[in-house]
Amino acid sequence: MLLSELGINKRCKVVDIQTQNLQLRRRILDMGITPGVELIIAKTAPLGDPFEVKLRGYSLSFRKSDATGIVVEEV
Amino acid sequence: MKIALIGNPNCGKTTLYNTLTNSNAHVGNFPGVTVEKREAKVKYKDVVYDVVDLPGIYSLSPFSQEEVISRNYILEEDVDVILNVVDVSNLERNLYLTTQLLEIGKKMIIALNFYDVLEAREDEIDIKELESRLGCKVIPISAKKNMGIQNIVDAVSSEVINKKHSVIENPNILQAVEHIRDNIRSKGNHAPDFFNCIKILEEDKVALKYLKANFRDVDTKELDRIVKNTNEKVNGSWDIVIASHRYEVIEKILKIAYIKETREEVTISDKIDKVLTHKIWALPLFFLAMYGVFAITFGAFGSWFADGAAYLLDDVFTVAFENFLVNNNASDWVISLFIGGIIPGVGMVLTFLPQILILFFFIAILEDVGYMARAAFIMDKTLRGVGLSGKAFVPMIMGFGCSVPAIMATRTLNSERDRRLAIILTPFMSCGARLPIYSMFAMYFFTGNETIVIYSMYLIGVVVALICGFILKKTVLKDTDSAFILELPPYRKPTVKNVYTKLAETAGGYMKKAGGILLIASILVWISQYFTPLLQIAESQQESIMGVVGGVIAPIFAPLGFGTWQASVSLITGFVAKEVVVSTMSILYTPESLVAAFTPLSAFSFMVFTLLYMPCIVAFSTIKKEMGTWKWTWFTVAFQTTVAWVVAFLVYNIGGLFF
Repeated sequence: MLLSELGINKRCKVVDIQTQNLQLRRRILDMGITPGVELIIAKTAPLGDPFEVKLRGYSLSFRKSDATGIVVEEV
Repeated sequence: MKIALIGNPNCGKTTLYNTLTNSNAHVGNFPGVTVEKREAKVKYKDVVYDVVDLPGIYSLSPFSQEEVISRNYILEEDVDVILNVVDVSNLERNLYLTTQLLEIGKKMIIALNFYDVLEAREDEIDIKELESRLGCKVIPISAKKNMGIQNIVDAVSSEVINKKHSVIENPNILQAVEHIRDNIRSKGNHAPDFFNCIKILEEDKVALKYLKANFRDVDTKELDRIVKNTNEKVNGSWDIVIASHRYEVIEKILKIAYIKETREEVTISDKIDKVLTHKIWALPLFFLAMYGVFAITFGAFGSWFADGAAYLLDDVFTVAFENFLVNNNASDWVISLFIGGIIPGVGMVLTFLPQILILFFFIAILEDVGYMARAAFIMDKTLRGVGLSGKAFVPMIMGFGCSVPAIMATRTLNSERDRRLAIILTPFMSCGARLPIYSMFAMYFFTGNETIVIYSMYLIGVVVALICGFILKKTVLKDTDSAFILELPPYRKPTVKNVYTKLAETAGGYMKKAGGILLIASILVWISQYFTPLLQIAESQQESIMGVVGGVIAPIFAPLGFGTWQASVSLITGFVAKEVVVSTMSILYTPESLVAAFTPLSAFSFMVFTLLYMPCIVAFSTIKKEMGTWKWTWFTVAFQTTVAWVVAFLVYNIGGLFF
């Protein structure tokens, strides 16, 4: 499934990054979202988007549209 | 000797820079406060060190403009020592950049910042282990608490060198790098460095350009083929493989070197966030908090200061000074210059300093605590609706202070289009210089309702910016989908030092403005109300330079409710600095004639116009610098002034139906 489809407080593991936009993909990788990393969706903003993920001991806020290429599996 | 401070955004580089060089550069608890390099020289044991603070970056494959500045700087300038600042509360991700910096091959020192926070949590880092794994000197510090700074100074001046050139151990990557090296070498070159070869695998265009410029016969097609061929061995593109591997290595190192106490996962930041970014309460809380700030600044508390200052100026200082001049037989024109020109022109603006300081005190605390990134988080969707990225929120908030740094802060935005849009809209955020105008009008026309009237100015600025964003998005600056990936820093206690520094800087800047540009403007305004455009003595103010210039453009403002020459000319002099509007008016009007010249509605309309029309000359030149072209600069100014006219027109004419 895709990261953007995951519910709040769900823990998941990144399986693949399929983002085609090279710049965006680099930024996703640089921020530590690499295949194998575990993350949790902590919350969404009041208007439903963006959402906050926790990974590698820190918090990152993300738009749903930027997360569409991130393939995850629930753990 | 040149030392470059480099690290992730918001890891405390500027705080360390301030400590090392005894400076007072602006810091804040959100990513992107520093957007330009700054440097200072310090002398230690007879050696002069050139310390350079660079904008924060997450990696060496840079995204936005300020990240390009940092990357180019450490790659191209002769940096002798890289001082890599690392936030220990976020080690894994911070060390990712470290693994890349090592590959540049310069002497490097790692400063583990916020080490006091880590110790307070009873965690521990095996420094020796970390040093041997990374192959360079590691020093625990707390830039805030001045801990470990001497060790840095010692390490910088010592002769130690790095023991490793990379932490990469994946044989596939190493082999691919060798292939690229061999290819370049086969053309009769010496071997290129590890850093650029890795970048070639990641298809980095800057690295390719570098190789082409510095090595003979570099063949792009051949390199491409090597990248493709070697890539077949690994699962995924090179950039994914390399990034994953870096993080794997870091995880492995930290498993050994980081000794962690077991504890629950809910942090204090989480608890605060539960309230401040709550699904329903976040937005009302945000606006309520802002209202609270304005109520304190302009309500009873702030007014007490403003009234006190006004009393001191009008009833104590002016009276005493006039007596002093009269007693010393000063000529009439000298008395008039001071009592009718300089003192009202400069003094009126100065009386609002207390309120500005109160407002900036709160903004400084919000910045220091880490709320700004949350504000961007909760506002992103609204901003996106009008074509802005949530990241544009940071420059917008800074715009409440001063448009100049705010316009520069748009460099953190990723695309040219986003930057242009943010530059056009940022001046709509009401800056501190406009505050005296509101305060003056609120004092004369809205007694008892100061808070709500001034708060509404700020809200009108925001709403107009949103509407204009929407219009521009549909017309000249078509939407491109821009990414919004923003780090939410942990909340931190505001420090007295940071807040004090910011207030001192604001007050200092204000006084300097008052003693410089406001003083000169006041004298010029005072003189030009007595002379005609042909430099003869004017028989009435109406015939003076002020009167004639104001009279010519006054009809433009008549539909807005303030078609007097005094109001019109003060808008022109306000181009020098917005406070000059107040200076000019207090010279050209007496309190009584000012009250007679406006109705509350036309006063409100005038406030709206000064809020929105073209910014001051310093902001104007900043816009030119950041936009790069005159075309966009003039567009920006024309757009803002048109918007100001239209909104003030609507306010005056629609308001006229009700009041």
